Amino acid sequence: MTHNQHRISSPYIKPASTVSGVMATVLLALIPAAICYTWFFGIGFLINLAITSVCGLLIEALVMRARGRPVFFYIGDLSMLVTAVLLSFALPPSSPWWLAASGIFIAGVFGKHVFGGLGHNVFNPAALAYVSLLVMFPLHMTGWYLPGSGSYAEALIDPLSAFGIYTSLQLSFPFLREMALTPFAVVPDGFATATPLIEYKFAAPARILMAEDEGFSIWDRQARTGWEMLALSFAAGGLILLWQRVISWHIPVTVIGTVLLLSSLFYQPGQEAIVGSPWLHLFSTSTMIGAFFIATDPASSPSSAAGKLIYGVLIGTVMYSIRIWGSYLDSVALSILLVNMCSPLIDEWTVRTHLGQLRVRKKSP
Amino acid sequence: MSRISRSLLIKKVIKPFLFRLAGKPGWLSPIHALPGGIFPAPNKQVSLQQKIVGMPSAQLAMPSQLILPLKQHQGDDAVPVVRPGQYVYKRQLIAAASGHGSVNLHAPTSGLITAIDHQLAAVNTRPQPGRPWQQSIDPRQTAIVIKTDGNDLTDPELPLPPLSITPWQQRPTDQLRQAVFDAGICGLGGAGFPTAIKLSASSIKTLIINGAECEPYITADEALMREYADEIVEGSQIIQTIIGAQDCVIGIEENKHEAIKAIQSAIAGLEAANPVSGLSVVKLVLVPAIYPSGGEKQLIRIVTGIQPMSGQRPSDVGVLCHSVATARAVFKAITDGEPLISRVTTVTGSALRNPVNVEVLIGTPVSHLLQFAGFDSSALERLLVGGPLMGYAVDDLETPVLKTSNCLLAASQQDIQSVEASSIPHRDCIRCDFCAPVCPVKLQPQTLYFSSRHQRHDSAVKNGILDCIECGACAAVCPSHIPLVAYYRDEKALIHEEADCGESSRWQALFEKHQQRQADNVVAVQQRKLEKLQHKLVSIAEGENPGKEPVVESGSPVSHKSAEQIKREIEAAVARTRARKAELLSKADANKDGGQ
Amino acid sequence: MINILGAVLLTVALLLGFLWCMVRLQGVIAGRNTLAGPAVESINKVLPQTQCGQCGYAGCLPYAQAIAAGENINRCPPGGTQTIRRLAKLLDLPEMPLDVSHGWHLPKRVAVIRETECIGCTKCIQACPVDAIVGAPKLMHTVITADCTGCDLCVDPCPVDCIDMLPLAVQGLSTIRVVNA
Repeated sequence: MTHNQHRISSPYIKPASTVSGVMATVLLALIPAAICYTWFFGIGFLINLAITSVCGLLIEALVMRARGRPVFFYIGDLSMLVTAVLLSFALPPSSPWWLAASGIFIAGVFGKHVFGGLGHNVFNPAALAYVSLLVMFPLHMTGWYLPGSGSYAEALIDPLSAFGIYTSLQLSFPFLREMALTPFAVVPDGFATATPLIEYKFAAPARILMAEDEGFSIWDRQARTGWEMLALSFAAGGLILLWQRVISWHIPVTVIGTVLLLSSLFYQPGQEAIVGSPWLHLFSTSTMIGAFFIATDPASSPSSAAGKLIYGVLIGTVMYSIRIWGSYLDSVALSILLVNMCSPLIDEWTVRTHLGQLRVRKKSP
Repeated sequence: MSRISRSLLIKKVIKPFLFRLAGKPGWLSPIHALPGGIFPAPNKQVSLQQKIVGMPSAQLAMPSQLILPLKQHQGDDAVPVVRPGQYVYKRQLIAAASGHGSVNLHAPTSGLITAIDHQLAAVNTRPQPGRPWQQSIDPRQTAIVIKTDGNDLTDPELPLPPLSITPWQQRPTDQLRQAVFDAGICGLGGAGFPTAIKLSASSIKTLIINGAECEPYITADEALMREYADEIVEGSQIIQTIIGAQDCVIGIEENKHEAIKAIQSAIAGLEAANPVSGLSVVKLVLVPAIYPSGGEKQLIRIVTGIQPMSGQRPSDVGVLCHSVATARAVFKAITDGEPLISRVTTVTGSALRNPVNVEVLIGTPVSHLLQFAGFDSSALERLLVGGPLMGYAVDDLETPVLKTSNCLLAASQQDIQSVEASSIPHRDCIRCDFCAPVCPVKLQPQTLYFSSRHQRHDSAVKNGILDCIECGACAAVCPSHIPLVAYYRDEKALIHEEADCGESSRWQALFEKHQQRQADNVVAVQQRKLEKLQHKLVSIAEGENPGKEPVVESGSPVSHKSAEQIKREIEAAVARTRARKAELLSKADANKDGGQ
Repeated sequence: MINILGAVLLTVALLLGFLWCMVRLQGVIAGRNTLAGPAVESINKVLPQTQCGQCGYAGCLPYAQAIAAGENINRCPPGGTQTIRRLAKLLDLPEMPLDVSHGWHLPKRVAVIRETECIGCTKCIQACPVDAIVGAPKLMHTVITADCTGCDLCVDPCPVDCIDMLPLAVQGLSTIRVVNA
């Protein structure tokens, strides 16, 4: 219980930061990525963002009311907004509205409040929601119908044109289709899923890289190169967080470093489509958002510096292993969840000795 | 939001290294980096605009009364040696050290003793184990009150102390130490440990004089160094001689440029005029300006690299640390025979129009100084004695200045968090780990916070809560605004309480034993009665009368009864007694269960 | 569409029900509360066990039982602010200042019998709740200082008023010194 009885003691200095300030910095750091995402994939992301934000705040308000806490004080820490934004990045932009709503419900209730709220969650709420949705609605989650995607449509649509926006709206709100306002030129009669052929797992992302060789520039708004720009903008956001000292360097450096190391070890030129090059692993997948924004969630990661290093190495290893030897294409959320479970143990094993601490010779049982 | 720098790598490591390479004076000896630390906005220049104002002087008059608590130090109270109504001279002994760790108390000026058992109002803080003289509610501080007469007379019949005739270099160290004890000097840096006891430490290799005033707003030591550098350096020499330390180092923060220059010239001048044989010359070492590099153990670690283990004192590792103010007080006591009757205090804060350093008489009510400095009570948020990070708040404006009060901070909303803002409940810990990198003792504040909240004493002690210096760096950077130090203080108080007298569980056991004994007693009495009656029954049945025969007198009611009748009555009595015993036993059992 | 909606609603209802149960059982799971309320034993443990009765109840356990039934937590003078704080933390209640109508919080005092005046009546022995007084009829009575809780219950029964309550100097804390009586 957060009682006030202690405020008659020093220090009296004005604290340097607030939780809402930290969260606001994270949101600001995600703005480049948000712009990039919308530019490449249309307003589906923004619709998802709106749904997750509003529903997320509502859910948090309801839960806080049920717990008997002051609602606006707890909503005001903006942590639910951060979860909402991260979840929106994870969801396909063409996903229907109820997917986003279910996702944020799972994130808020099962990812966060069931454990005690901010600071007490064992798992990263956004990662938990993403994996739950993946398991519950695999078709919706793995089918990326992207306006303007060269992989699926014959004609390339500008996702931010009027038609592109209209398409995004119809994808997010399926009931609009039934209202039959305007004939929809390209009807998705099914969802193209990622081919679960183990050997050619990286075919689609690999094709993106090959597109570069064919002369497409990275500024081209074709989904081929959107992923890399997105990863770069996440990296830029991560660097902003590092500069503002919101996160420490330990986790991002170790995650990225481990993935880089492992992918370099196993890479052979010409096997792009099978194991993927280091560049692919870092920039054509969600490694960047995972390393900077999801793995660094303070409540679910270890607190000590040594602990963070171990944690980062574990995440990188699991991430790479699932990609190569598991059945999921992008394993960021899953690997983070698995290693989140190890955080308390890592914390216990990496207790740092303080200055002048007497070392106990006998190990206590 | 105020800006508190956490990124101090340049200050801690790179700058000292580069300066050492460049051969800048003061940086020549290698220093060690302080782990952690923060750099809050110093706010020091406002109070250094003018020189130290003396009391009494043309600018600052003497207060009408002085309130002198009997305990301004760590250790037992001093015992008054004067009576109410007595006239005392300046520098006269008014309370003598008695008991363990006590120091003398002297009258700062001449006047009339009006009370020797004046009760001070409660200071508005909770008990802090490291500073036992700040009691929270009870017991109340006892103080001697002097009504000043404005004449500032010293006893005309007092002989000149021998040390002011003969130079101290030619006096035995025992005499010097005794003079320090007689002068009632305690640590003026804030801790208040009796200096004479510290000076009796043996096998000290390094003496460190602490001029690193790292806390924001406080400039008392810096002003002292600017104006009285000679006295400080000579005082350091005296202390060095008394304890026989090989090295003497004065540590100053590197951003106090004028003070550094003054000390440097003082060292140069004094060494030329007053060389001390057998011991090294006094050295100046500059330390990076980080809070809390001025803490005793922190400065020792920075200057020498030695880390006293948990529970050890610096003297156990061959180091001794004194404040520059203490060094100057020792100098004045030895050369002039002046006991500790005044100290330099910074009077500052945004609620004052004229922040200044004052050489104030001990026992001056705070209101007198605030008035002098242009106090605006409407702007006052809190009145702090000490700095914003380690000071304590006082409600009563008649609180006296103690020997350990190095700063009076009349803080407005610009300086500290407003009372309103600090009254709202704090957020949960978000485990962001902003706190651990700034701890100068390398503790993990998160773990200590959770242990303190849930009163898990073993976990708190294991994680080093007893080594926490309560500097407040962790609470200053916490985004959830958790008052971490308050939790640690509570926990420490509980741990000390349990260690000192974990009596409540023992008393509970005694009480339960007492209840059990009482219940057993009553049952035992019934049991005895029962046995007696049974014995009687047996003897009647056997037709014998081993014990007392019921003497049946002619007139008594028993004479009408036959032996049978008597037997039946006895059996009935036995049955009643049995029933009563059973009832009592079951009641005792019920009490036992209820108490579990 | 209806099927999906139905399934979603059912799931949401189940989840909300689960959440409600979790919130209600929070205190139980944390081990602090029993379903009937805070355990009397844990409250009793926090009280100072002086058994003085200043709170108005006949000892610490009856007061603990009263607190569990809703009594104010600020009636214990020997416990003082320390106890109020611990009780507030234990029971999740706001702190309140000590109700001084029950007495002031004083530093620890112990009973001391003036032996020249003791008549050996054993009335104080019977009054002591922790059996800290040693003695027998017509023989000298004396207080075992280490066991004395300072509860003050022996002072009134003494017919010759030969018991003083004197403060005990506690390590590190200043006390009110008693000038030669």
